[in-house]
Amino acid sequence: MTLPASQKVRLYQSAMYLLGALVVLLVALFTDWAKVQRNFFNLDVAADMWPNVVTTAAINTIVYTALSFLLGFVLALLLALMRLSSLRAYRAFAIGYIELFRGLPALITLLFVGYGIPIAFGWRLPGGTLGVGSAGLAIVAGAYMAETIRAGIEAVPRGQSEAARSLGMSKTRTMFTIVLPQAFRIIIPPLTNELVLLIKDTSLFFILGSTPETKELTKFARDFMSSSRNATPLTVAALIYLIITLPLTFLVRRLERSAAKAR
Amino acid sequence: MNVAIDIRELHKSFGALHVLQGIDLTVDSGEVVCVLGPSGSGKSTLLRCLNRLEEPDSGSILIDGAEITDPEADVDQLRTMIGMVFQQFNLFPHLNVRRNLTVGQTGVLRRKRVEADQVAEDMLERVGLSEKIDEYPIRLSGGQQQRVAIARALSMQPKMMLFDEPTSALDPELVGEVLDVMRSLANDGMTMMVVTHEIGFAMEAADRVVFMDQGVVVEQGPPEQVLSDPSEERTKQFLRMVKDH
Ligand SMILES: Nc1ncnc2c1ncn2[C@@H]1O[C@H](COP(=O)(O)OP(=O)(O)O)[C@@H](O)[C@H]1O
Ligand SMILES: [Mg+2]
Repeated sequence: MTLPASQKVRLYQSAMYLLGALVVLLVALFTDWAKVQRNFFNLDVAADMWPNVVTTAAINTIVYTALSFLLGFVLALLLALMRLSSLRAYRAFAIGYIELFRGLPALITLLFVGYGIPIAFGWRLPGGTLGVGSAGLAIVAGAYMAETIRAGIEAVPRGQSEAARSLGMSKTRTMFTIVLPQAFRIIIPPLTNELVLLIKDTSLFFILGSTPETKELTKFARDFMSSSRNATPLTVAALIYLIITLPLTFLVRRLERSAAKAR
Repeated sequence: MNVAIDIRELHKSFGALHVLQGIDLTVDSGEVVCVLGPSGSGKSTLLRCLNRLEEPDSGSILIDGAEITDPEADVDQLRTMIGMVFQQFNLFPHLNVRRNLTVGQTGVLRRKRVEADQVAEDMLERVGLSEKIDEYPIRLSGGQQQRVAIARALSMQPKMMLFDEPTSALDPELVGEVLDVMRSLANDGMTMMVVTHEIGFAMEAADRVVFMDQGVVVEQGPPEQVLSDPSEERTKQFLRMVKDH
């Protein structure tokens, strides 16, 4: 039997639709919707979380993210400049650092900073969960962002620094007044992506131990789940994460589109 | 007469490619020298060696008597005396025209904001773009961008100006306005070294024309002589080719 190509495609699509509808129907039939509602969307449990889930947990998540990002950014800038340095030793160090911390799970790095250093030296980074956790995440984020910043610097046309140098500007002045400002414009989208990743990575802070005041969203939800014997706290936490991250990812997509148009 | 640029036995290679094969050339102060030659003959490299954007392999270059090729030379300081204009303009897109013209003055020459602004305004007027002082480069036509680039170089009040094919990236109808600015600079007595394919400009504005090919100066002399009655076969060939276009 031979069918025209267009008809074949339509037949195939109809079959796929039917298959999908069947799966949805089966899932719907065999799911205990009352149970789902009681355990994942329980308004009483959600009400109990209020207001701490926002005033403590969400705020902590945001503060941890902001500090990690800030520290990570400064570190990344330093690493990117070292990576592009004319001194071989600086380049080698930066490459080593970047490959090391991109190759490790963030959790391992956090454990090193939170427990390895205190065990070895009997000394803890200041600032409690905030200080230790943010430093740990910054060490990791710095490695990723360094590569982003380097790519941004290399994307600035060479004529820009040549024009600056021919005005008599030093290498350093050229970098900070001419190259970096243009590089940052180019890398705002990938840096925002990095920020979104960091928001999610702050959920690893639980490993550092926490008091009621230092819990971030995930830890807060997890503890609330245990005490209430209900999964709704996870749903609430997930929704809050999305409220924070979705506008950012939306922003990234818009920035990327307008950057593509400018090209 | 003072010698503004003194090039002796200049050699430069990129890997195995021997781009400058012993250039000897002087430019007197106040002189306008046009450099002609086929693409790839080393004209840009020569110009870029003069302010050490390109590092010469051997030979020496004296800028107003100071050896810029000396390893101990204060290159950044010497560069402020050498204005450079590029084929692609290379204006700073994140700065408006005013800042393009003042960023070097305040940062390198340590001029006060007010003074730098005044110089910027004067130079913009000189290239006929006073009204564009608050625009960003992207909003200007190619010809206007190149004139701003010339004003930017002039803002450092350099002793000489280097031009690397300043009109090659422009639409034909925009070439004239840039050449006009360059002509008036030449009339004002600026020392200029201009790499160009504009035979007409060379003919009327140059004091001397230098013809380069394959990394050497093939011949040089007054424009009427080199352009109308060249003595070297390579020069004749090149001129025939350019005039056909
Ligand atoms: N940075 C560089 N690396 C390698 N080769 C180069 C570089 N710059 C120029 N060249 C080569 O040197 C030769 C001369 O180039 P250039 O000075 O730009 O010539 P022109 O300006 O006369 O067209 C060309 O063959 C070019 O490909
Ligand atoms: Mg060239």
